[in-house]
Amino acid sequence: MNNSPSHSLPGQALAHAVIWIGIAITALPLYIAFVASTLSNPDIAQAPMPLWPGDQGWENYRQVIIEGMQGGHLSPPVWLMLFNSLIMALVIAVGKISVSIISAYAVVFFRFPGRMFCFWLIFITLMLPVEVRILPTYEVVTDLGLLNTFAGLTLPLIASATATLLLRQFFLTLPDELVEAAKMDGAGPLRFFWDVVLPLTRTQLAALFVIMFVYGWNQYLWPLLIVTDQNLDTIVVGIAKLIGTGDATTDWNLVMATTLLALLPPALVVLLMQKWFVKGLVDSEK
Amino acid sequence: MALKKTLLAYTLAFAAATSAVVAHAQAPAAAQPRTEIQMWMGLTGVNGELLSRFGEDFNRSQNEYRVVVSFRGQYPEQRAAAMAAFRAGNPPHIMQMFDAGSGDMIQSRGAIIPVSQVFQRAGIAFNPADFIAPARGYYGLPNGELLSMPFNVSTAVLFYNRDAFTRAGLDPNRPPRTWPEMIAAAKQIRERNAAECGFTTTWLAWIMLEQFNARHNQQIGTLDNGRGGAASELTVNNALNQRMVQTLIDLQPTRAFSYGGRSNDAAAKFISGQCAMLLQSSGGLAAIQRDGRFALGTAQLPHWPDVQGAPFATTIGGASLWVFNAPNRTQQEMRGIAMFLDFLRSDRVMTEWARTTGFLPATYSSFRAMQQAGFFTQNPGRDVPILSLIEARQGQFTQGYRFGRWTEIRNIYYEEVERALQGRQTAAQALRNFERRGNAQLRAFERSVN
Amino acid sequence: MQRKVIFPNRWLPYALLAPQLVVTLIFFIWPSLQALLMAFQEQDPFGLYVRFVWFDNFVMVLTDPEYYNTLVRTLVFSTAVTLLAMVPALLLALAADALLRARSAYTTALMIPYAIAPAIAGVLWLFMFNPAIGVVAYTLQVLGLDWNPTLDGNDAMLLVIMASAWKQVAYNFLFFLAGLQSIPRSLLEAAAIDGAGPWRRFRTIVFPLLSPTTFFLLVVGLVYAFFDTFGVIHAVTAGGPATDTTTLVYKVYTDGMIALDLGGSAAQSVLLMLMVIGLTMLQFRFLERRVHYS
Repeated sequence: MNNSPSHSLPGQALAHAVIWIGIAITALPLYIAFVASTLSNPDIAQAPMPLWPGDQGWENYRQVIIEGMQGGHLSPPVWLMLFNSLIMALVIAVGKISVSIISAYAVVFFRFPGRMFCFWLIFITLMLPVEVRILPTYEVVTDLGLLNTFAGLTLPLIASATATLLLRQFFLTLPDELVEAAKMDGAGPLRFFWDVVLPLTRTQLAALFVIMFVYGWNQYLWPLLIVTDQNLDTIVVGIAKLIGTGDATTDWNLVMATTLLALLPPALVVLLMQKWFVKGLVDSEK
Repeated sequence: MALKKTLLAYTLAFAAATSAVVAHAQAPAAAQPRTEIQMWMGLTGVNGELLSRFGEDFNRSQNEYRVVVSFRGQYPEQRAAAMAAFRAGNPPHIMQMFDAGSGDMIQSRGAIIPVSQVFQRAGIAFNPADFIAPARGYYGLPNGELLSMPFNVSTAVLFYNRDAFTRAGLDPNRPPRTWPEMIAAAKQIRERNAAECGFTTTWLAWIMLEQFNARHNQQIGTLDNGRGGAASELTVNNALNQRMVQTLIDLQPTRAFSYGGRSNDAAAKFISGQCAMLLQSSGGLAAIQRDGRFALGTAQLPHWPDVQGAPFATTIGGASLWVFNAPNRTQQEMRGIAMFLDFLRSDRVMTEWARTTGFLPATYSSFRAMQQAGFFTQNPGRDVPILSLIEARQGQFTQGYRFGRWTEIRNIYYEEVERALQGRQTAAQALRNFERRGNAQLRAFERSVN
Repeated sequence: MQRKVIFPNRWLPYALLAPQLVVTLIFFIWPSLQALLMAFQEQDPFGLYVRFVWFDNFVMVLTDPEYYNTLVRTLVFSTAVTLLAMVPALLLALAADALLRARSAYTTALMIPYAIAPAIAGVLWLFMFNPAIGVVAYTLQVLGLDWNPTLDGNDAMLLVIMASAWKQVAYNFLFFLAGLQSIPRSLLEAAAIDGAGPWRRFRTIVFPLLSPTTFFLLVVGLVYAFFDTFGVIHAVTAGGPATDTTTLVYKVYTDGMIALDLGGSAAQSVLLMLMVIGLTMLQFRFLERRVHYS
């Protein structure tokens, strides 16, 4: 461990440097957003926008957090929207992962007629973008009486081809010895899943949770369509309502401030998930 | 460890979901059940706030109905939502649809109920002549009936930077009235380097195609600009339109004209001071006033003086309110719709709407009310757009148009003119291609509604 | 692909698959079939006048020369986005994996851009690159480069490629990192002791063991480039100038939602779907063989 060249000082320095360049590029838009959230609107409109934070920061954030979004007629309070987003993101993330992990498990660890057909059926959901099938999906949801309900908001989004695919990839890499050992111990497939596979899948699950959470958090088109009750609005819809349509004015500084605040929960999720990113597998497990 | 976390996550999610569902289910039950009226709109920000508040005001003023105003995305998304809802048998009661979408709404016979009929069936007095003539022409039938109710109305104007004018040696109190004057001013601004660019325009198709032809009372399409039916054809490939597009192309190299992108993007060039003049919707005033750092002037759109009778009135933009036809609408719901629409067109609401949002008063009575209250004297320049609609000369082709798929046809205009501005084709080719592709769209639309 | 050692149960796999299949059938397959049916129909926006027209819509799409321009443009765009999103992500993941300290902080910093809603991301890119007010645009102009995505098609294409790849880098980074961290340290240590340098270790151990993840990201990345980039293009260039940034999926949207040509849009969706299925099957067929699963 200590002899590895990548752990030497130049190796570490190189790693840090690469990361910093990466952060500079990927985080540049975020920095711009932050600067914009500390300026006044006329300052943002005068080209070019300054690259250094301004002095309106306290005022802008105070306005967003305390006074809420504008007059309060168009959107519910910020905290309610954040709460709605949180629920939606959690339910979708947990739902998608649960449903996909057992599907992937079934496709990989068993042999049954229609196995590959089922896999492709699930996989094919990636191939038709939501914008295309949105009209008929709306009809189905209406027919089932799920309009303006939480179930209608989340159920259609629960199937996940991406998660199934990723987990299938991972399950295919697990050594046969593991399965044989479990069988010899007399463990059935469910025991094997719960006791052996699930802990091994930690890292993948952590990554998936982050992705699915963000996916749920950023849902825009579907909630807009399904929900008429303002009180179910998510924060992303709330931000969209801040952005003026057509020629109307937009308080870009407030939009940016709200956007950054809305990024905090997902950021927290990313941070928390780090614990599951266990470095390598403990040798005894392999 | 992992398992515990998963279980914890599950429990959390389940508890949270349950509480959310419970909270929603406990939404205050009305003491006396009101009939719900759904209105979908495409406005956000200050405008959306105000329209939502109007809904709440209406709810407070009576006990029978509860209007729910909700934002359903920008106009295209909102329209898709309405289409989906209609197909599922459950469209909103009222929907706000933007100008370009009118043709699609009207030609689908059976999808909507003309607003005049809605008032008539509900027994509420309604005089279409109240609405300003350009709006009546746009959304009305030859017999005077209105198909939809004009609500947020705008038109195109010329904004200019007085300070830049002074720098260039131009008189800031005498903005250009004709295109030759406009071109000369732009060139002078560039020569004296009073600004990086002479003029730019937003909403290229709306201003350079629709407003431009109205200003000169020129036909855009056959069958009375499409009002006669879905069999109309475009007729814009003529000398006047070619001249206009060619002018834009010719002025580019010296940046007397600088293209700023589709929709509203070019406004940023004017607000930041880069361009000295801006052709823009009247609704763009608030942004300019808030963020611009120069003295502002407003004028009517320029015209070509050699066109007989010009300048004519400009046309309207914005949106109107449509009533959907649904099989399960009750008489009571229809009455509620009429009452709310009546509320919205009242002078009190209209004047507050016009004052706050920068949209124009859509009725003559609200315009006069604002005049009498001294609004226009206190806010010079705010009367320019409304006057360019009602005081300028009306003509056969200043009443707007009615084509299906117009949003896409506007896109085609953007594409073809942009290609010409890129230098990849001439103005004549651009207009020819536009006509060809636009007519293909019109034919496809015609087939779909027959 | 199938494992060699499996469980013999007969009905359990069906039970495990049931939840996903039920949701997929009700909320995806059924509506999709209806959407695809629209490809064979001609109708008005509100569904009041519907007519069956066999393959007319397909013929119209396939005889439109602009369709083939869009196809080529999409291939160029998708390849560029996929590559631009995978290579830097791998580099960043390797760097993050090698870190001894502060990995959590760095990973979080690199992942946060992924959490920005696509509509807002588009706005941010405009804030940076819009010729009128963009900070980066201003810098480019000061440096003498003529940056004008409102009229220059190549500038516009470059802009949407960057904006699309940007989001995907974070996604790829996360999964690459997860994949790297699943590689047993013992293998790498053994190789190091045997005298293998970092490049050799990468080539013979890391990359092969990372191949399941790479394959996954390639498949998903291609799908992303073909479909999910719609939001970014819509926010940044709206397909313009002229048609220079109109990709196949964007055309599906404009024809469907803007032009309200539901039949034509559905026909294009069918073709697009077939294309992506074809590409994916090719990937499964030819690339998956080279993936090391154990």
